[in-house]
Amino acid sequence: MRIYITGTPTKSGGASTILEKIADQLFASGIAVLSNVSAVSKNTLPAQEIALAEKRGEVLLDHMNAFVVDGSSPDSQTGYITAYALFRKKHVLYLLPQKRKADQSLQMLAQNKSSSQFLHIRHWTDGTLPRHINDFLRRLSVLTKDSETPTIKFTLRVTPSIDQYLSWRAKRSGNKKADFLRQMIGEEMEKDEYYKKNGESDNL
Amino acid sequence: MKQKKVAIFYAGERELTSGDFKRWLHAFPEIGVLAKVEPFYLSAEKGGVSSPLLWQNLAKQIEKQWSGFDGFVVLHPIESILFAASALSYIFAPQTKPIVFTGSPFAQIERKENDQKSPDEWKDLDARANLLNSVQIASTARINETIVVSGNRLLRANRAKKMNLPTFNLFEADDKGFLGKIDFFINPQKAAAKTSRAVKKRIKFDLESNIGVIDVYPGFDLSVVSAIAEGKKGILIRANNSRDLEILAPAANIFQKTITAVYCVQQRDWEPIGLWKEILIPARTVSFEAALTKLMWALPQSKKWSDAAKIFSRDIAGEYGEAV
Repeated sequence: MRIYITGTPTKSGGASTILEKIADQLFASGIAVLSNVSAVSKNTLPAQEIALAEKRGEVLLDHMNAFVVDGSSPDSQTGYITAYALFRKKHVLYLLPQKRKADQSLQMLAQNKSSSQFLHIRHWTDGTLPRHINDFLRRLSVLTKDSETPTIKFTLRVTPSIDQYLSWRAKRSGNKKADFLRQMIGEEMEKDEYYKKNGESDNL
Repeated sequence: MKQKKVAIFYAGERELTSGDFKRWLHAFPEIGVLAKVEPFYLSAEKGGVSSPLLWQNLAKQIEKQWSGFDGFVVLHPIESILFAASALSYIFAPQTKPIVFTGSPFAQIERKENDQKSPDEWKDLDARANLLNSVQIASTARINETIVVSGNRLLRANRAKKMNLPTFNLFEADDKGFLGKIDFFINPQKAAAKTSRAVKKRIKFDLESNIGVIDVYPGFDLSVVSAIAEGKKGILIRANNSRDLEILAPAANIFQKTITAVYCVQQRDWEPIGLWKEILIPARTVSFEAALTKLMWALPQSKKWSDAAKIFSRDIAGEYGEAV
């Protein structure tokens, strides 16, 4: 997964502390991190991909999966990237310092039926920043899996104790039992490196 | 951060009402993050055809709103966008604010019979991306020129040419016409970014549309020249190269009676020699669209051939790739 983080560079062209923290946490989670601030851009797009996009007339923002915006000192660039991402229906985590109000145009987008699904405005402190990023990643991960519609139907027989556990978990998480199972299996799939390499070629 | 103001003009398309246009813009709230936008609607002429009259009206409307906005975006049908944009580049040169042309989303939409869908449900994603990019350019890029935006390119309107490739870049230009690209954000070329000019000359809106166009090719039938030239204020000759112009030599007396510019496709730095020196005006390295609209703009200001020749020798709006 590729996430583009954007914020205003410092006067010397470097990265603010929040941008560094965001980039480090995303990178540690296995995300490819690109940014307008070169100090925190930990990955680059392959040259071949850039050349092809150039030829096709594509904007490289379209090659990103999601966006994190440091809104502490918004400028025309952060505004453009936020607008473009939302218009393309990509998820944006918009981070504001505690007590800072989002500007009017963002508030309108947050209230708009369509864009509010993709715009996640969060106020952060040093203590809450990692949680906001984790929540965002979790959401993206769930959304990626959800984009595949479950269409295969089969009967699964379980013991009464498993059923009791499933009911308990489902009630706690506010999901259905089937959602919980799908999520659990999805996470197992994510971790299964052997399956990722050989799943399609193994003759089952 | 104070929001910039951008005027969005909708020019020349059939089957669309002013209300449709406003509803479509309203259903595109992301634009509001970039700039404070205001829509302006220009009703098309009968049949929705883009024409010099429409371009003049557009220019007059833009001039009327000039002081109230930081930049201007024009949504225009792709087929004739280079004519309209080139014309405006001459009318407003030298510019103090950007005018950005991009394809009208509604040109790409085929309405089915009895289609009751609202404009925001129409499939126009790439046109919307172009509009979003255009608004960003008009509000922040500080390119005080008339620009055409499509796909990931910013091109000088009067040096852009249509491409016939399956790509979102509908136009191309040489280095002199390439003003920037869009990758992760808008990247203007250093040469394109300009500071505002304080001095503004009186704007010349008039465009002469009574112009004949002659395409010369080996085997060209000379007898049609007089019919084409009859009553015309100017003629634009499009020839592949200067050798093809020799075909026209027997009709030189017809061209002597009018103002004639020449656009040589493959030999763009051609200079007239011999007989042609006092007859033909070279359009130099510009595109066909830019040559024709320059002639349209030059004729109302030219009492005689030498006036037009003088205008054509000057780089008015960067069309020769010189500083504007």
